[in-house]
Amino acid sequence: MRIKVVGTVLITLMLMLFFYAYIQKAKQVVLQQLFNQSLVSTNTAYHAITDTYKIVSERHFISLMQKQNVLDVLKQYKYAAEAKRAILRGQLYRLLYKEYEQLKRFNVRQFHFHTVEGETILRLHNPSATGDSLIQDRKSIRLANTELINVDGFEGGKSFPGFRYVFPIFDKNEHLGSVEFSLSFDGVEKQLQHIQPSLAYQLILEKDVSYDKVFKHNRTIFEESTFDKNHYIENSKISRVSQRIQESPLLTQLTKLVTLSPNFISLLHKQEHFSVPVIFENKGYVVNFFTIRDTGNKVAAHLISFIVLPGIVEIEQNYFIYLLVGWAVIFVLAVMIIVVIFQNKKSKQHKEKLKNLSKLAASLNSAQNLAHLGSWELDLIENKLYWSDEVFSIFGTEAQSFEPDFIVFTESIHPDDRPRVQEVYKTALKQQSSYQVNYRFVRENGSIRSVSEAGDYQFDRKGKAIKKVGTLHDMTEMLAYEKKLFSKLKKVIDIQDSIVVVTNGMKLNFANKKFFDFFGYESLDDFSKDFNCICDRFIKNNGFFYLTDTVEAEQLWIKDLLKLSGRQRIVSMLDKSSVAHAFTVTLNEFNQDHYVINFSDISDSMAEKLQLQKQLIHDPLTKAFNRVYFDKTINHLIDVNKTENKKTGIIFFDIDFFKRVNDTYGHKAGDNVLKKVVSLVKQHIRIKDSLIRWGGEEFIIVCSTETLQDLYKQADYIRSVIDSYQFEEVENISCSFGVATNQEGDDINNTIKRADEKLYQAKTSGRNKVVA
Amino acid sequence: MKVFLLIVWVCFSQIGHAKDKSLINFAPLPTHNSKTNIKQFLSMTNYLEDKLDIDINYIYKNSYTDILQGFNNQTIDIAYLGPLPLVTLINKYADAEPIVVFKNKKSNSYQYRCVLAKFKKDTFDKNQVLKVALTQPLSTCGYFMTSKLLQDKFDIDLSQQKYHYAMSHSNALLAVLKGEFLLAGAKESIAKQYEVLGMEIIARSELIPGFSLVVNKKTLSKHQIDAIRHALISISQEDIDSWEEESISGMKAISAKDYESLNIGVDIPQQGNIK
Repeated sequence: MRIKVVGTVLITLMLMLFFYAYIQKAKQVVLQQLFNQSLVSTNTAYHAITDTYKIVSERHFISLMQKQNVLDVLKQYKYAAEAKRAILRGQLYRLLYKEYEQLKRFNVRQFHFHTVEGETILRLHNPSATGDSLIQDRKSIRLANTELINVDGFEGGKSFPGFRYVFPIFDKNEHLGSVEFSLSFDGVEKQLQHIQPSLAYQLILEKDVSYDKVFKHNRTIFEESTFDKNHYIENSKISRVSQRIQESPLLTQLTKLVTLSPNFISLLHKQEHFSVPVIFENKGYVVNFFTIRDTGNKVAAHLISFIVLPGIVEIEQNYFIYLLVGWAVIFVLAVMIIVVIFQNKKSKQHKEKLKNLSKLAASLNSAQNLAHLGSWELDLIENKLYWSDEVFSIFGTEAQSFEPDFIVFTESIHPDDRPRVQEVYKTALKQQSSYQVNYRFVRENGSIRSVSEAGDYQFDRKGKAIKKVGTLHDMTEMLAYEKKLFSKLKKVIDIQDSIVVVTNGMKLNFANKKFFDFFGYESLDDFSKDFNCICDRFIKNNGFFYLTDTVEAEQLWIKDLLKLSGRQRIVSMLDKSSVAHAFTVTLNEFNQDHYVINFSDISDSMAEKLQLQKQLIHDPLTKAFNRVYFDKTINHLIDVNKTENKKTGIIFFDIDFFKRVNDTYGHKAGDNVLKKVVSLVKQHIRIKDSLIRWGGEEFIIVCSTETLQDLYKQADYIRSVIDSYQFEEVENISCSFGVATNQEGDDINNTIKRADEKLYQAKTSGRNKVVA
Repeated sequence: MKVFLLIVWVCFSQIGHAKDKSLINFAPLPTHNSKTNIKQFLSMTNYLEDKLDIDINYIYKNSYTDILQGFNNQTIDIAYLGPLPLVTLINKYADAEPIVVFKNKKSNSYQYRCVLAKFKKDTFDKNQVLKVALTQPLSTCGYFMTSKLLQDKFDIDLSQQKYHYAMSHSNALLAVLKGEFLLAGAKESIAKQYEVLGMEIIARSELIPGFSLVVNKKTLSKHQIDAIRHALISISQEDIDSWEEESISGMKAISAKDYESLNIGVDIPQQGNIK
């Protein structure tokens, strides 16, 4: 298309150019006709004048030939010596000066006699200039004296260029020489103005017939023409015509405009008549250049006429209007063509779009048909409902077989679902939000279809609903399939050892047989009467996931659980016999809102794990904590005591003379003593106090205390319990105690060391005592 | 004090001085043929125009009387004058001053002679009343020198003859050629030009200083007068030779003193006694 447009623009520009050229040409033709008339008039006037002067000259020549005394002087001159010739010249002047005065009144400037050899006899206009030969320079004189014929025409000369009339002189058939009458341009101009008035006439002379030809001392009578430096005019100080032109601002301006016109110089040098139109100050002028040829038929000068020609302005204006109109038409046509090109392009694009749209519509219909998904649009202003083909199909009718109606549509919704659906519509409209609702509707043939409708309202600027658009998904087959599939799946799920539920976090949508067996319920409805959520059955237990007691938490428990790593997703629930079980929880997304959650009972493996953990931190013989426990927990215990503003106390004790027990009653009896002592101590210390078998018969009790005295009392109480107990076989044994409290910033090992030192003191000071 | 006096002198020295003019009015010889005048002076005036960046306007006067009036009413800045009109002008107008004299090309001299001429075929009978063609009243070769030559050479009193002012040398000579007058008083160089027409010179005067350029000191500044004089006398011979005007072949400075010999008491009639 770009090529077409560029092409059109280029063609338009070319057409405009051609039209411009055509208009210029046509205008030139019209103007040329006008100029030709002017040139013809000038030509006619010019020839009328020169012909008239020819007649005048001939008359004078005839008159001259009748003067015998003149002829006698000329005859004598022909044969006289130079000394005699001077007198004869004087005589000739004396005879003819009155004749010359008369000729001057007829604007004859030069009256000139020549010998048969072409030498000057006498110039009446310049009597003292004589004797010079003209035979080479003046063709007219040469012809008159060699061919013996009358010659006339424009010609340069030694005094002035002029319009010449040369006649050979005879006396009784004897050739005596020639005579010349010559006109000045000022004289011709006067006559031209009389016959054909113009602003001015001017004669511009070729250099070789003016400046180059005259006597050297005569060159100052010329000056360069303002038209062209190779042309000369008579000096304005000599020529009345030149002076008048130079003094005229209008003629000066016209001359300047002519020289500025294109091709002027080349036209001037073509040596043919031509005209230059000039418009100056909204007036039309033509400056005609009329070539004047000399006697040798060579262009010697241009006769220039400055003529007022108002028609030029009119012609220029008319052709300018033609040009504008033509250009406007071409431009409009070009614009129309470009518009058509654009329209074609648009039309093509439109067709292509329509084609693609049709394809898309067909594809959409096919897609909708495949997906059982129809689209609809309800114009709430016009109350007009539009259904895609698939909606018609969902309704069991032919595509576009009737005009759908919203009321009819709502009436076809299953009566059980209709209130709910209408409520959804109202809510969405009220909240200006999209909606999604599943329901059933009844076809005309009574069959029921399950559909999922999604819709959205469109509002105007004022918030008024103007349109509702949406989709209608026929779920019937899918639901039936799902139901069938679910039925099969349910059987598989039911035989699982794990509890499997489908829930959105609150409501249970499905639970397998294990669920009902574990919790002792017959149905989900029964369960939901007692519990909002399965999470309500989670019990608080150390190391198990548990949720806080808020309703929001119930909604978020799945998300919270998902945040935990798989190993940490452990919950504890009570079964129908109130026995706690541990479950690992596995979550899988069922749909956008629902999860399939699998609870695997790991109670047995959990118990084993707990046992192992117990063994790891307990003394296997006495079941008291061991040093591993101490190392792991001591810092935590100290921190807990600090937070309760209590000190950590260390009660270090051992069994007195235990070696004797082993030696006397054997190691088994010794082991029994150790077990019993631990048992006794455990029974009499606080639950948060820890009893640790430090090694052999040495034990440490880590406890919290406010003062050392309290610690002492506690230790002494334990001592008394052990001392008063009757052991099997060995009957009475005692223990010695050392106590110390952990000071702020003190290493716990130092505290133990101090307690150990106190124990040593108790041992060395009689045993069965407490030393603080 | 010296500085103050210098300033005062500079200020007063400027008073009375004409300002340089850009357009100078030039009066060539008084003649009815303006073309001849232009031909004679165009090269020189063109040279001055180019050299001094001035325009020279030709003022045509038909008589020396008009030229004198032009000086008086300050419409003429420069004039080309013969010796007698110059002397007359200086006597009547003190601000006229000759600055250069011209060398005649033909005579190759700064001086010239006046002559009496007649047509060879005509008979000169001094016992008859003579008809004499004169140039102009104030032309040196006019009444002034013609009367002297007639008196000195032929013992003829011009005042007793018939005389007419033809207003130019050529006209005076042509008047004889035409047969209207017997004698013509003219410049020798011009009279010689007419020898080819049968004119003969019958009496010659002593050499007198040639034609000069006379300036009007009232209309031109001293600076401008000096510039014109200097421009003319400093021109090379080569340049002068290139001038297409025939009669001038050189210029030199001159003053009024050089013309004092012409200051003799001759009563010159302002009009001829025949028409």
